[in-house]
Amino acid sequence: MSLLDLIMVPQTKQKQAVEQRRADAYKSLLHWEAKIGGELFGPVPKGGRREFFCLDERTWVWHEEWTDQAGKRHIVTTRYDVRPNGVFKSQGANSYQALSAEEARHLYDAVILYYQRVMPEISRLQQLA
Amino acid sequence: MPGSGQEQHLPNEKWKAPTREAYAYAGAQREGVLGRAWNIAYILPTTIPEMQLRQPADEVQSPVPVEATPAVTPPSVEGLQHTTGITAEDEREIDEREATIAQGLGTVTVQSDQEVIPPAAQNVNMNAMADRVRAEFDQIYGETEAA
Repeated sequence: MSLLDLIMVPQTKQKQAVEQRRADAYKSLLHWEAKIGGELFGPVPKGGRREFFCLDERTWVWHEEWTDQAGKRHIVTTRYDVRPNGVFKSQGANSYQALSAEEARHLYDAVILYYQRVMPEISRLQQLA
Repeated sequence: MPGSGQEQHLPNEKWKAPTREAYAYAGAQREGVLGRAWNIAYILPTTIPEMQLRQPADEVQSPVPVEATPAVTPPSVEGLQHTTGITAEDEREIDEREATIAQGLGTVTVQSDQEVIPPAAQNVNMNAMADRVRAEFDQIYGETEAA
């Protein structure tokens, strides 16, 4: 092992540790946002689960779990793809569908509330370092 | 933000410096993403003119149609089997972007022919999602500097 290796390895490990912490923090923030987003639509029925979050600048994800009256468990994940010519949603395999105006309005309202609730805390985080 | 639970979950000044730095960095990343997402979503009423015909809802409703059951109901999955209004070029762009997302996050499995799974739902045990989120925050929350 060369002297260079002795010097560089710790720095590499340190860099990896920093990147890992940042990745973990990013995931935790996403989880937190999903939880906050799920609360925007009112109470979740007992035994159910809801998450709503911004995955990236054009993609919003809605995840819902519930049990019907027959006791069957349902899990649905919906992705909203915001494109210049409208919003498309997909559920399950190979299904893209243009959003109706009403659905787009609901999504729009949700995005506004999401932004209002999440952004102040996200901004505050940057002042902690 | 009463009731959101964020007060007990997100970091504060007592956290270890590396954790604070990580959250500050991640927060900056998310702020950028959300800012761009906002700019894109904000013009929806202009790209979907029909949206302007309706007054904003007094309260937020599910973006997707819901079944008429008490309280909150899940999205309907009916009538979603047909692909409409999207071109092959659109599909290709989406696929490329999904690949970027999956590569960038490293936590999301996204393929055009598969259901999108949120990061918290990577494991099959979906029922543990909320517990997992709480546990992660609790674990981080415990990393406070010694007094």
